[in-house]
Amino acid sequence: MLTEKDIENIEEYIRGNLDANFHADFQNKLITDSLYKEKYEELLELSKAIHEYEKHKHVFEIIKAKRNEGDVLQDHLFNTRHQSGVANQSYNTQASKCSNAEPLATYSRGEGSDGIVNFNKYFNRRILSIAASVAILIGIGFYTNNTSDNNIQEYGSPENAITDSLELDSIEIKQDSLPKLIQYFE
Amino acid sequence: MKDKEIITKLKSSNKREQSQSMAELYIILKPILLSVVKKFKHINADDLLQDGVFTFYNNLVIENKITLNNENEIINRDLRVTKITSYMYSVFFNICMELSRKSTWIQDIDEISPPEEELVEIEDFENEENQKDIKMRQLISNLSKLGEQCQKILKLFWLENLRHDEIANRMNLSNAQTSKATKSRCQNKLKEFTIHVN
Repeated sequence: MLTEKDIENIEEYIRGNLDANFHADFQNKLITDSLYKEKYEELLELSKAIHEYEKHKHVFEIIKAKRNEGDVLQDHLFNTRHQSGVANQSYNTQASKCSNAEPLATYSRGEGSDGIVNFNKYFNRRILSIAASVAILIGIGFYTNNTSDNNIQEYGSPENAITDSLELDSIEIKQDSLPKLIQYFE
Repeated sequence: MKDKEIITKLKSSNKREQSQSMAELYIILKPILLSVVKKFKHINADDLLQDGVFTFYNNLVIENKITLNNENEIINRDLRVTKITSYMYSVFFNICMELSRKSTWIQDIDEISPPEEELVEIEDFENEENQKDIKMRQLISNLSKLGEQCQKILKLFWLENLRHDEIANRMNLSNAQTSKATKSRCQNKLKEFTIHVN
């Protein structure tokens, strides 16, 4: 395991600031300790990269300026749109800067649109539409229940059916007693 | 602007000419870039454009790996000749393959394989020297993706050879320890970019 001092020494050696008295010790460590050597190579590479970057920084500035004109991604969207045959809208997912992050969904509407909108903004709207659909389904359920209640009322509920049958019974009783009544008056 | 003119201006030390040539190059590269991006679903077109253009610039201007012949074709060190468009297709394609190798993206290899005739143009990226070149190019390109504060502190430390107390002073940081911690954080961020791929 490398200590903070080890890393500091490596950095100072690369920058040319390490005391000459420590050079022999440093070289020895480079040969014997693979971790030390690995760190040295990594930092040396970084130092070279920074020097190169500063030399050619203007190239990145030119590329950045072109990038800021910002038509690469939109052209990409345009291209995908024609490929997929969808006339007015297209979707594109692109990795964010760190590749292990969730891809960002972008959304573009029509050729005339110059802004790419984060599709995630529309997520809440989507949830709302799902909730509305569920509410409609529940509504239909209630309606069906109410309608079937009406049908029962129309055709007579079970309780009414019992009552009706009792009334019929009483009519039959009345009908039975009628001859007796006639007989009585006679 | 013809290919030869683009290359000549790109190689010149005049920044204005370089900028003009880069703008032309961008127009040439756009359809090629888009055809590669279509094959790699996870690639960010903007990042690929930056890495590709820088690779071209690096091979042409910094490392002199390629040059242009009278037929406006590119010749590499092995004297292989290709058109600029084919060469750039291979550059973009190889960057994407390299990024895919390092990442955990799952993509059907047949889906992204170029046609047979294009395969001939694709450089061999397997040897160790090339791997080092790629790593260095990525490091340089990723430095441009760091924030201004990080770029400045790394420049002051590695380029201007300042001590941490001097850097703290220059950047209005509270003390040398803060400068040390900031520099370390920036280096780790750069490392992360290189591992995770922009």
